Amino acid sequence: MGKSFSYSDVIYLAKGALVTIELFILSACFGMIIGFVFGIMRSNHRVAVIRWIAATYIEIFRATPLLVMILIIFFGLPFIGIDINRFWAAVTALTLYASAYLGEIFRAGLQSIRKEQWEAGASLGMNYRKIIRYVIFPQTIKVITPSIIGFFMGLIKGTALVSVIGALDLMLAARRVAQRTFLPLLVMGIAAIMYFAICFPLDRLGSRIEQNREKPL
Amino acid sequence: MSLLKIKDVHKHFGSLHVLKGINLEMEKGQCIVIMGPSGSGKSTILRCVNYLVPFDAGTIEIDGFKLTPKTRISKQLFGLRKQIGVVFQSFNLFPHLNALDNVSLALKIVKKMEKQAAAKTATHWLELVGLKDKLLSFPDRLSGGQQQRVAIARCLAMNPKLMLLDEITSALDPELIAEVITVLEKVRKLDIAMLIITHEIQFARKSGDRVCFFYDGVILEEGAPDKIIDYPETEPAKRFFKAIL
Repeated sequence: MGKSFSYSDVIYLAKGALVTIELFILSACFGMIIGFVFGIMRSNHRVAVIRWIAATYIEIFRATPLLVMILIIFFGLPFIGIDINRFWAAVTALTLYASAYLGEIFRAGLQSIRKEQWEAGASLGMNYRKIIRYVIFPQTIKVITPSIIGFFMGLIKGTALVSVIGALDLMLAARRVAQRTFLPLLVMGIAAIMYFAICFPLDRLGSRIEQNREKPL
Repeated sequence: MSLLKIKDVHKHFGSLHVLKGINLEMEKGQCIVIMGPSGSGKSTILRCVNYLVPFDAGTIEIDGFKLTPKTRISKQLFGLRKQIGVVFQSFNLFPHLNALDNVSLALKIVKKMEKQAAAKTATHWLELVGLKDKLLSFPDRLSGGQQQRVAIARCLAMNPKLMLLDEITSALDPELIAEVITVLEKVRKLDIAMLIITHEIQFARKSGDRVCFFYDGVILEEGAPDKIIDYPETEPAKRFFKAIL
C-alpha cells in the first residue's frame, strides 16, 4: 500500500463526489415530491386530520438530527425485516429529512398567497386542483425558490453524514485517502473544493433567480 | 321563472349574526344595486350566491339550481360558479399572468377552449373594456382602473348569466372610478343580470332597476332607485343617504 498521494486518489475522490451528487439529487427529488404533498396537506383548511398528520410528520423529522435518522434507518430497518443497503438507507434518511424541511417551506409559501387568489380561482369555476396548479403553485414557487436553493446547499453538505454508515460518498472517500496517505490537510482541502464546486453553481442559480424576481416580468 | 331567488338566508360568523333572513328576487337582465353601511351583510350575501361562503339557513335558487346549507362542494357547484361572474373590490387578478392570460386561463382550463379560440375571446373582451393595447401587460404594470377593467373582462369572457360586483370602485382613486363606471354602463347594455354593491349614486340611478338598502343583516328598504335614494323611509336609510349624497 503506497503512501504517496497519486492520480488514482483523485479519481477515488471524484467517484465519492459522484455518490454525493447522486445522494443529493435522489433525496432532493423525492424530498420535493413528498414535501409538496405534505405542504399542501398541512395548509388544508377543510380537514383537520389531514393537517394534523402532515404537521406530525414534519415536526418529527425536522426535530430529529439527520445523523440519528441515518443510524436508525441503517441499523433499525433490518430488525423489522427490511433489508437495505448503505446507499439506499442514506437516500431514505436524507429524503425524510429533506421532505420535512421542504414541506414546511411549501406550507409557508402556500400560505403567503392571499386568500383572495383562491376566491378568484373558485369564482371562475376552478376546482381545488386547478386552483393549486394554475393559480397558487406558480406564485408559490417564485416566493420559495430562494429558500429551496438555500436548503439544497445545506442538504449537499448534510450528505457528508452518511459516511458514518459506510456509504462511500465524498466524505468517506476523503477520510480513507487521508488516513492512508497521512496527508489530511491536502486531501480534505481537495474534498472541500469538490463540495464547493457542487454547491457553488446552486448558489449562483439562487442569486440569479432572486435578481430576476426584482425585474418586471 | 326568476333568475335568482334568495329565500330567508341566515348566516353566522361565530356568535355574529350577519344575515338575518334575506329575501331577494331578480329577473334575467336586471340590475339590482345593493347599498348600505359597512358590516350590514352586503358582501356576505354576494358571496353566498356563488357559495364562496356557505350559509346556515334558507335557500338560494339560481336559474333552477338550488343552494342550501347542505350543498356540498361538487361538480354541479363548479358548473354553477362557471355561470356566475364575480368582480372583487381588490381586483384579484393573477399576478403571474399577463392581462390576456388572466382572461383566457379559465376559458382554457374550465371551459376547455382551444388556446387560439380562448385568446381570441379574451382579446375581444379586453378590447371591449378598452385595453386593446395592454394585452401583454402584467397586473403590476397596470393602474388600479386598468386592473379592474381586466377583472371585468375576465368575468365577461366566461359568458355569465349573472355578475356579482362587490364594491368594485372602492379601492380606486376618484379619477379612475369614472373609467370603470363607463365600462360598467357599457356592460349593462349587454343585458347580463347584475347584482352590484356600490355607492356610486349616479350609476345606481341610471342603470339600477332596483335598490336594496341593507342594514344590520336585513333588507330594510327596496324599490326604484330614485325613490329609495331621494325619499328613504327608515331612519338608518335617511342617515346613510344623507351622509353619502
